Amino acid sequence: MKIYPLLTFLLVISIFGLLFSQLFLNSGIEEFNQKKLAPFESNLLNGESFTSEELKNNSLSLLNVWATWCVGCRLEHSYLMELEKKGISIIGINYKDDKEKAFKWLDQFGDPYSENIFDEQGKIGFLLGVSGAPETFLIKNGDSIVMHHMGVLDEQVWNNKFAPLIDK
Amino acid sequence: MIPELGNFLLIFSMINSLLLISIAFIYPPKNKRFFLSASLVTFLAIFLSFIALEISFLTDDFSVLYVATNSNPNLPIYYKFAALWGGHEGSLLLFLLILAGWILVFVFFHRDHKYSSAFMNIVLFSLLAFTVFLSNPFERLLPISSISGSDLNPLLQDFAFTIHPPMLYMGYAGLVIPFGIAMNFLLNQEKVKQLEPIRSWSVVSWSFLTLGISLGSWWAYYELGWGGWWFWDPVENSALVPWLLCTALIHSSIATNTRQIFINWTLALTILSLAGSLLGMFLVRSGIITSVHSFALDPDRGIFLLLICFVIVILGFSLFFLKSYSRGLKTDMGIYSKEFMFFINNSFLVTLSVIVLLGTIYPIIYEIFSGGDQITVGAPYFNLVTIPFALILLFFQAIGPLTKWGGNKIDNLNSIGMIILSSIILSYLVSNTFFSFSFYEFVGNAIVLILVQSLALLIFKSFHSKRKTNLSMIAGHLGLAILTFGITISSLNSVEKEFVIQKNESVSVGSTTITLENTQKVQEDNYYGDRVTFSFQEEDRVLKLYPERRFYPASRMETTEAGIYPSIYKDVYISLGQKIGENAWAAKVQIKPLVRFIWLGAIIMFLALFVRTNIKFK
Repeated sequence: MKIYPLLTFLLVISIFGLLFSQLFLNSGIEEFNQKKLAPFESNLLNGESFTSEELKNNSLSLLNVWATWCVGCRLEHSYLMELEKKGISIIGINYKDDKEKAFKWLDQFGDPYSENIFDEQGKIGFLLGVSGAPETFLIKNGDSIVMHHMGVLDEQVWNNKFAPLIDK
Repeated sequence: MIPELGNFLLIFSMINSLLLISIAFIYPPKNKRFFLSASLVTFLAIFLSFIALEISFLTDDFSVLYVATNSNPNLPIYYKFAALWGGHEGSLLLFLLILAGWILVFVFFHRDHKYSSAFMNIVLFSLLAFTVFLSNPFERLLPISSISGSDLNPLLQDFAFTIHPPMLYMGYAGLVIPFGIAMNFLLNQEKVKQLEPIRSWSVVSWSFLTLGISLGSWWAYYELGWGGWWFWDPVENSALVPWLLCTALIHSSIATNTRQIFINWTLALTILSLAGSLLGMFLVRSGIITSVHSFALDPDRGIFLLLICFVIVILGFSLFFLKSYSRGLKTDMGIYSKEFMFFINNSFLVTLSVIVLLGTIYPIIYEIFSGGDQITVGAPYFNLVTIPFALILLFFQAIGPLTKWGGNKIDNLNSIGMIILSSIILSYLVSNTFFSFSFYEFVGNAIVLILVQSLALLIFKSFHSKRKTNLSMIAGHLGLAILTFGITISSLNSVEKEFVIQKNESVSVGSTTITLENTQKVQEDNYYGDRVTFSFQEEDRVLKLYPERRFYPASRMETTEAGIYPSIYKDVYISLGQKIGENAWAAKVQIKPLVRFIWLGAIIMFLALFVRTNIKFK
């Protein structure tokens, strides 16, 4: 009879152990090597044209999806400014937004972006698999998505998810 | 000011709840009104805190982060009110409010339970602490900026959505009550009679779970535009698991109440169903699984929620094994006895819930052992493994109501045999004449026929005997029969077709011919898009359907509105795909016979809650 308590606890502990370990794994480094970036063409906020071919010039590029209607973007903005000061180049994707408002935002809060792709209809967001804003992507060699973070980018997220990949 | 007040009240209720627990265990109060007044204070504090958050929503106070991310000034006032539970923090507050309410009602009716409310408060307190420290809905967005709020997701701007979460939470939170009763019983070791309230509380939880789940399924059917009513989505599964366990709990506690048997089953099931409900909460809210419902969240919250769930399961099972397993009551079960039926019921439902749970968390397990590869477990697995089990279980529940307590009384055997035989013949004829014959169709219909005949026989008999009849039970099972019938017919006889269609072209799907009449632009306050008019012939009438593709500028989302022609016998369901060229559209047409029976059955199952249980016809 004593076997039942033992079995029950073993089962409970192993199920919870698995879930716990998954949580810790998830908070570490994720790699999606198999995810490819679909090529795209678009305009920048300043009217110049841009193609995804340009991303191939860098081994790593950081894409940040933002919009003036998005509260989370306002939250992460100051951290993006900090990253910019550290010399990290961020390519912005102004997602489903209004050009005028976007410029006003950048004037008011500062511009952390080296370039800003204007994705008025969310077509590039669609190709990237964006479900909302803010989202941040790390692209390797201009064709594969190494990291896709949904939500606000802050120091903790940066150190856990992005910094280890960039250091490699 | 008001958000700070709300926050303060929330912290106050947390401390109050902790006080109740400590006093109950360290210095059990002699005065039985203590628990009542303490529970009342906790409930009122949470209620006022809920009101405070509602005020922030209704006055568009976007300095509160949660309001800013979930509401919008242009939202109709009704949706502003419901937007409170549109996100993680607010829905948690709603859950706490409901839980505190249930505890208050319980304590009001059962003041003689010494520790029950203390155990319930352990769950309440841990979730309150989780809300206050890790998911505080009153957090301010500082410095205050002139942001006008993002928007409530357009998919959620819908009536069914606004009542789906509260109903579901009534069910989830209700499962805490049986757990408290069981723990109190284990600790006190008093009379088995103390377990009696488990039955009515589990019935209440179960009814609301049924309603909540079916509302979700109905919403998915008409709003997501896929035409399905069940997707085996991880979140649907994590509601299904507690529902299955709660179903087992109801039956087990009936056996416990009337025959004082299956006591250990009942006790274990209270722990399991609460664990199922908390684990479901964890799966949805930790972001460990991606699904339509999941809130994208940080792992800290997940760890805390999982910890709560773990502690409660361990606490429950420790008490269970330390205090009760010496009392293993042997039950005599003849194969025709009600005891045996209930045993089948319990073991099959637990097995089913384990199968569903395993399928849901298997991707997680796989990812760990394969070093990061990801897979998804979809409908084919679930259908393959659950349907045979479900059919056997349904067969037993069809004949179960006719069996009697205690040993092998065979006096009913003739009528049971007759019912089974006639159902098999009838089902064979029906499946052959009206539908293209298939094995599952035949089995499904046979089971429905057996169940309906059993219930009819039960009612017929009660007119001739002086015994009390449980009309609520009959109504509940009848609902299940209607639901099973709807599932069987609609899943096996639906036809669907995907095609590209131009203006004035026709396509035939099954026996229906559908024509694209014209396309027009639509423009409303909160969205714009295209509306396409389709027409089809139904008997001697020409009917029109207007599926749409909409774009909501406020939240920048594109949605499809399916065109649905609903009727009792069949639904014609058209959803639009992409626009191709100038006048052509990709579209999908589905014809679903008897699909309405699924929700009709579920609603009857819910309404059974309000039917009287003890009726004498004579």
